[in-house]
Amino acid sequence: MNRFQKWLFLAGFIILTLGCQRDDICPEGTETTSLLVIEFYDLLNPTRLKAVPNLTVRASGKEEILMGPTTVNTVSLPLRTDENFTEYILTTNSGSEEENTDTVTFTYSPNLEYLNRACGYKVNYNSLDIAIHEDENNWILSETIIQESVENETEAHIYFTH
Amino acid sequence: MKQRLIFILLTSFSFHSSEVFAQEAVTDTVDVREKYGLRVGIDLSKPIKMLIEEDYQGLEVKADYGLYENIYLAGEIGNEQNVISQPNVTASAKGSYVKLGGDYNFYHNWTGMQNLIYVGLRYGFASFSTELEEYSIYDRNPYFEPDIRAEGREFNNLTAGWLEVKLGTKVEVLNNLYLGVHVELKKKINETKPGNFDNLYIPGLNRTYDGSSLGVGYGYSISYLIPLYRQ
Repeated sequence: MNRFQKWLFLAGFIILTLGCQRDDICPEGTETTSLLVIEFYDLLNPTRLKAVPNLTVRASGKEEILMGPTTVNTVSLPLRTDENFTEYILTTNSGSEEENTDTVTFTYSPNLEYLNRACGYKVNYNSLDIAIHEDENNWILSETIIQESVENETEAHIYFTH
Repeated sequence: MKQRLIFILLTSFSFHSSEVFAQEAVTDTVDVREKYGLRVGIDLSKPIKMLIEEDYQGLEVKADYGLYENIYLAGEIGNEQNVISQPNVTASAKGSYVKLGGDYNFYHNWTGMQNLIYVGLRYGFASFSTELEEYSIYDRNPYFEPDIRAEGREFNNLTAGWLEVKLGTKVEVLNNLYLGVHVELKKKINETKPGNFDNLYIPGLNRTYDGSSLGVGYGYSISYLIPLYRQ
């Protein structure tokens, strides 16, 4: 083996080794920590979705709003991963005379699940429960827990009627 | 070897005029059979890596023994410690490994040369521990503050086994002293994974890849042949 071949061999394997290093970016389609999906139904016709006019959503203790005002029949809310509860303030008819605010507390037990080296961990929320704080005029009239564990966003976890 | 040949050449010249038959007698003592024995060495790439990478520590001792022509019994033993730092997970691993197998030299040397170009096969086994140093909860919604946790969870008594193919060369640079370089391709065949976590680095197998049981590696070595016999 002459000197040229030795260097060629050396250069070849260095390129090979460097080429095998892959940068790890969490892929877009990965099922990471799920949002809580809530659907709003009509009290009089509980199988029919009913949009909430000018809904504003904000977490207790946060200045900035999560969403709104917007008229929607489904919302997806992030839950705190480092606590076992999250409190949200949901306001209907925001900015109008009929503005009505309800406070809802979601309680759960957060469980860690390892995904992969790029994404790290996700949290699954188990034993989900809801408490609507009573006031003199609640606009959310009833709640139904459809799924007790929040692991993905394919279906709604909670139905509210109004 | 070269110096010896020159020496023989010079001596034969000096005796040329006076003793015509001496040349034959001297040439007979040059043994051109290949040297066999125990070759021991260390991996140079690991101390170099220790200088470059702050979190890395490693040492590997290697040995091979010539069994038959071109066939060597070979093995490595080492200890490594490394930190894998990813945007969402930081973990360290430390432990020891042993690799056993053989090398086959497919390079045909000129008479009197002792170089090798070889393929090798190994079974590797590692015993190690891992510490999950920091991790984050992946949340696509940035409404709440990022949840990054630095609790430090340790996982002990982990093991892994793999098969390894090596391709390399060893060149005799001085009498019985060899410099070598090689590349490794490994296929993990078994491992114990930490609960609700993964092995990001396995000593001897190097960093792992998600969704693949392959590993890669390379090394530079310096080794010394203790000649035991010739054939």
